[in-house]
Parts: sequence; structure tokens; C-alpha cells
Amino acid sequence: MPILVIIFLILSSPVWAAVPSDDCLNCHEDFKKRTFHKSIACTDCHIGIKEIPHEEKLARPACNACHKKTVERYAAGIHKSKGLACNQCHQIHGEKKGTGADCASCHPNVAHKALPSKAKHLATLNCVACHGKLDKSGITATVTLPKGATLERKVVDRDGNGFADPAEWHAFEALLDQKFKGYKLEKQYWAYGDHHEIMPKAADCGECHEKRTRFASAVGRITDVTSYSVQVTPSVFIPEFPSLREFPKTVHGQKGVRCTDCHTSQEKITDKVCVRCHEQAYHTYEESIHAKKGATSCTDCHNPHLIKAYKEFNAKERIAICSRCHKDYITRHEWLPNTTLHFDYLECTTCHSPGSEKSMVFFFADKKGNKKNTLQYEALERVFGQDVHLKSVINAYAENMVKGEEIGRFVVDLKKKMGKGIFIDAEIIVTKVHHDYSVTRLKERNCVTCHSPQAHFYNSMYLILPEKDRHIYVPVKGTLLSAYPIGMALDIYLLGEEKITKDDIYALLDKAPGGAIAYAKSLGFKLIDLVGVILVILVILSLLAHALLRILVKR
Amino acid sequence: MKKVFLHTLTIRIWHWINALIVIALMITGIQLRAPGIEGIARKMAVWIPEYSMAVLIHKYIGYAMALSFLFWLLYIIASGSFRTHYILRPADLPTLVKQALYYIFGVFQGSENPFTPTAEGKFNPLQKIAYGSVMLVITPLIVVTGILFSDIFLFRGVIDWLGGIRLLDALHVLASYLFLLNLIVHLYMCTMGHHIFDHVKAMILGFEEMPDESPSNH
Repeated sequence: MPILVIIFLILSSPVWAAVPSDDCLNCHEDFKKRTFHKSIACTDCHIGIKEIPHEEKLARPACNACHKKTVERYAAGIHKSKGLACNQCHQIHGEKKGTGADCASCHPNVAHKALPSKAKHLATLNCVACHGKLDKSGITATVTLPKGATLERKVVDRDGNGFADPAEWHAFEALLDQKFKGYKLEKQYWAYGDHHEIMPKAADCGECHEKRTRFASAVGRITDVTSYSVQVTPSVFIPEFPSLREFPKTVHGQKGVRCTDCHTSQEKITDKVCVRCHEQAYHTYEESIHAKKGATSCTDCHNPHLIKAYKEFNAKERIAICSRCHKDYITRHEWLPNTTLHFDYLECTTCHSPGSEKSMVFFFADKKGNKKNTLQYEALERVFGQDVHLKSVINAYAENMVKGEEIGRFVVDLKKKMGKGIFIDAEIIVTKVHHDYSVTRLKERNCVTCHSPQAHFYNSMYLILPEKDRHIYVPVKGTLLSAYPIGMALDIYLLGEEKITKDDIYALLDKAPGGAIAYAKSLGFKLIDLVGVILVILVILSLLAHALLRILVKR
Repeated sequence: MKKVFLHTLTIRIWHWINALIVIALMITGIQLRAPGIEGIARKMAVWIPEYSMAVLIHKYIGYAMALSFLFWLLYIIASGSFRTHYILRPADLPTLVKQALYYIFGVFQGSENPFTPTAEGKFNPLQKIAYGSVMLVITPLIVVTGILFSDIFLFRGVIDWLGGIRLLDALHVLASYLFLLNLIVHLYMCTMGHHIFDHVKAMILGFEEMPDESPSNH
């Protein structure tokens, strides 16, 4: 008897009492068309059906009976904690064998407000790259050389260790720019992860830009006639955070500004943060047309993580900032005679910021062929010894200025030490910034504003001297522009620049300190005008006297 | 009185065109050198071109000057006038002193001009020196430095080789002062003919009226 009972129980158990799927589909006609999950029986998931008609309330199918791992991963993700069930993304009885809904179908046009460089990030990365747990990721940089061009592996990987470090890769890119015009460089940041495991919080910036845990490897693939791949340090393709290593060198860093002084949250820095310290500059700027029409936030022009203060920028670098937007600046200035020549010596705000102080600045440079290079501290250190302060070399006294003659003597000496190419280069740049950039179109395109002895930058001349990690601006006193021997080593000449003045003449007559001859010498080429004008006057006077005598004797 | 033919039609036309060119270059040149002139001119209600216009005028009339100079050079060489009138000869040396003494003293004492221009030699030794230096040294220097200024980018190499733009400017201006000094003397000396406007007339009509040669010269 007990055996019979056991047999009965076994036979009446659900396994044995399975209902064929065809029977189910007699009522649930819609599911006839299903392609997804077709290979398994209805009752494999919908357990507890012993007979038809079945009970109204059935237990929820348990996906994890088959998809155990996936469900486990899903349990760790944000979607689960928000209460999303499998079937909210997956069409379980779907007609197509789908991979589930894509992110955008629920999250269209995510603002990504807190994401810096949003466009760049969204264009290069998929959602998982930041929001998912990654299974595989990497960077592939594909270089397509112009047709027919070949490039050996050892050009990319110079030391032959199978790996291109940043120096090697940058040298390689420079070579491409130089010799392989028309090449293509495509960077692909690929990331694969299980969409079931979307993290509650997106990866923070440092995971890519500092610790480099998300894109830990990079490959450079060079395709030409033959194609090959070289491992590359990923930092080449992901800009590093300026924060830890570079930030202390920046102006902000040097003045003791800490990361958290500005970055109070992960939100993008707005002007409100900047204005806390830079109130005056901001309010001046706020009122200007530039702010109202174009660049509206501070960071559109300024990179707060940047290493240099504005005094560290030369004219070309300053122009580079403006020309990020004002790309057509050369064509817009075609009215200006010698347009490109002007832009070799000026920056945009020299004219477009009337409230700022402009100066003529001088610096030492080296000319090799047609190339001019500003002398850097390292080069000067090699000549004058370690930790040299050029100011004290040029001007032995502890005055806060250098004289024209002192600079002249220094350049003559420098030419002997560093070669004939040494000369004094000059620019006319802003040395005290005023943030009103309202002057868009100069009403007075008047040459004489600058081409005249009255031009204000003649009253504000500086010699820029490189020091370790920075530059100092030392005021220049006395004649520099026309003086010999600088006259020959100075690579700037402004039409209509200051000529001989009354003061010069008085100084000559009054026996200036050091004697009239020494003073005359210091005037350099300015003397031409002095002697010239005196001669013209003398000749006219003597001819007048001659004429008068002729009249008197009636000849 | 007799008429002596001194200046060919070509030279006369060239002279007056060149004179206009020189005047324009002098005026604009002074403005470029001393922009303060603009303010003074405005106060005196004298029209003066804008600075940028002055630059352009100076540049293009400068080209005209170059052409004018080239024409003159070719003409006096081709016509043989260079050999006849410009070259200083040993015989000129004693007359050079005489001529200078005449201008300084003789002219007031009523002496005769020791030199009489003829078709075979229209310049006295002092004139040869003055015109020779203006036309063969000063003008070429101005023209060449001026052309170098006209396109600093194009001539960068030459300018650097010369010693830089500042030296180029110095040369250009130095030559201009010398030119100006010569011009002033030239303008005065043209009143030193037999009659005050005789030399000017000669440059318009080509010939000059001279008193019949004094018997002492015969």
C-alpha cells in the first residue's frame, strides 16, 4: 500500500503532469508568433500548471532558474534597485530575438550637465564606458597613411620594446604631420560591459584621467601597404588631469587654491565660482559686448588648470586663445597694411581692449635661418651657470629697472657667447588686463595711434627675463629703440616711432651726466635726425645770408 | 647775347616729372618720419593725407622714383651725356677752387662766373660733384633701401643680411637728409644765372641766354 501511495504522488507531481505548450497556445494565441524563448515549453517558466484551465494566479516565472549569472549581476545594478523587472526591458514573448531595450529608449537626450567637455565625451564613448561595469575596454588608434606610403614599425617604436611610450608616440605624430600629409588618425574608445550591471554612480573622471582603470590599454594600428599594431601608453589618448602633478605649478596652485575651493560638487564650474575671487574682472567683463554676444563664461577663454599666468604668454599664444573662435582674424584685418607682419608683433587685445595697459616688451631670441626662437631659461643657464638671475647680470645695481645701454652691452656679450643669431625681439602686448572687450570694430582705424611718438606703449617698456619656472618683467629706462648697437640687434621698427625730442636736445646742451658725447652716443640712430635737422637749418640760414648779401650788392 | 643749347627735351621732361616725384616723396616722407605733422597741419587747416594714405603714396611714388632713376641712368649713359658732363677730370681741380671762391666772394665783388656752360660741358666741377653724388650715390641708396622697405617679408633675407630693419631705416633716412640738403642748395643755385630765372628758363626751354664771351677767354 505505501508503495502505491508513492507511485500516485510521483505521477501527480507537476513534472509528470506537464501540459503541452500547444494546449496553452489554444487560448494564448498571441504567443504563437513568438520567436524568443521558442525552444522551451511554456510550463518551463510558468510552473505550477497541472491542468487546463489552470489556476488564475500563477507564480512569477523565475528568470534566474536559467539566467543565473545575469540575474546576479542585475541584482547589483541600479536598475534592479529602482524596481525594474526583466520584462520591462526584454520582450520575453517577443517576436524578435532581441537584446533588450537600448539605453536611449528610456533615457533619451540625457543632459549630462555635470560632464565637462560633454560633446567630446558623448561622441567618443558609449553609455557603458562610464555607467557600466566593464568586461573589456581599450583604445584603438588607427593611422591610415596616404596611399602607397609605408612606415616601418621601428619609426613608431624606436627602442624596439614593442611599446610606444608617450614620447615615442608624440614624435611619431609630429613625423606624420611633417611627412605624411593627408594621413588619417581615428581614435576609437571601445568599451564592452554587461548592460545588466549598470552602476548606481557613473565612473568618476579620475578613473580615466588619472588612475586609468577604465581604459587600461591602447593600441596603435598603422595601416599602409602592410599593417601592424603597436601597444601605446593609454595616457597618450586620454588627457591627464592637471590636478595632482601640474596644478601646483599653475597660478592657482601657486597662490594656494585647492581643488575643493572651486570643485565643491561634480557640477561643471560656472562663473559663480570664479566670481568669488575675481569679482572686479568679472563685473567689467559681464558688461562688455563680448560677454553679451559671444563667450559667456570665464572658462570659454580661461583654463583654470593652465600652467601659465597671462604674463607667461607671448603674443602668438595669446592670439591662439582668441582665434579658437575668431578663426578668420587675418581676413578680417585685411584693411590693415602688412596684416601678417602686424600679427607677428601684436596680440588681439593690444587694440581690442582699450582699458588695458599696453607695453612694448623686449626679449632675447635666436634666429636660425628664418626661424626665430625665444631664448629659454635652460639655454641661458647653460651659459651663465645654474640658478642665474639675468637681471643682476644685466644690471649690477639693485635697481628695479634696466637701462637701454645695459641691454645693448648684454646682447653684444650674448652674441659672443651664443652665436650671431642672437637678437632682441619685441612685441606690443597687454601688461595690465582690463576685461572690457567691447571694442569689436575700431571706429578709428588710425595708424597714428601706434605709429607716433605719442603712442602710450613707449612709456611702458619692459624687458622679459626668463627665470626658473616663470618670467619677470623688468622696466626699461632710457633709449632702447634707436640706440646703437642695439639698433642692429633689435628686430622691431615702428614707422613714426619716437625721434629726437626737446629733452634730448636739452640734455645734450646741458652736458648730461657722462658728457654730451656719451649722451649723443646713447641716442644711436636718433642722431641722424638731430644732425640732419641742424644741417638743414644751417644750410638754409647760410643761403639766406648769401641771398641777402647779393641783394645788398645788387647782384 | 647768344643762345646755348643745354638740355634736351627728354631731360627737361624727366627733370620736371622727377621734381614732382621728389616733392611728393619729401612731403610724405616727412609725415612718415614725424607723424606729429598731422596735428599741426590740421590746426593750420592744411590738407594732409591720412597716415595710411601717406604710406601708400610714399610707396607707389617711390616705385615711380625707381623707374625715373632707371630711365635717367639709361638715358645719360646711352646719350653719352654721362661721359661728357658728369666725369670729373684732372683739369677740373683748379677750377673747382676758383668756382668755390667765386660763390663765396666773387659774386659779391662783381666778378664774372669763371665757368660758362656749353654743350660740351654744362656742369662746373662743383656741380659735377653735387649732381654726381645725388644721382649716383644718394638716389640709388634711397631707391634700393626703399624697395627693400616695400615688402619686408619678401626681402627679409636681404634686410637681415644688411643688419636689420633699423639699419635699413637709418640708411634710407640718412640718404634722404643728404638729398634734402642738396635739394635746398640746388633750389638756391638755380637763381645764380645771369638773370635770376635764367637757369629755370633753360630747364624749360632747353637753351640759356649767355652774354657774349668775354675777350679774356679768347
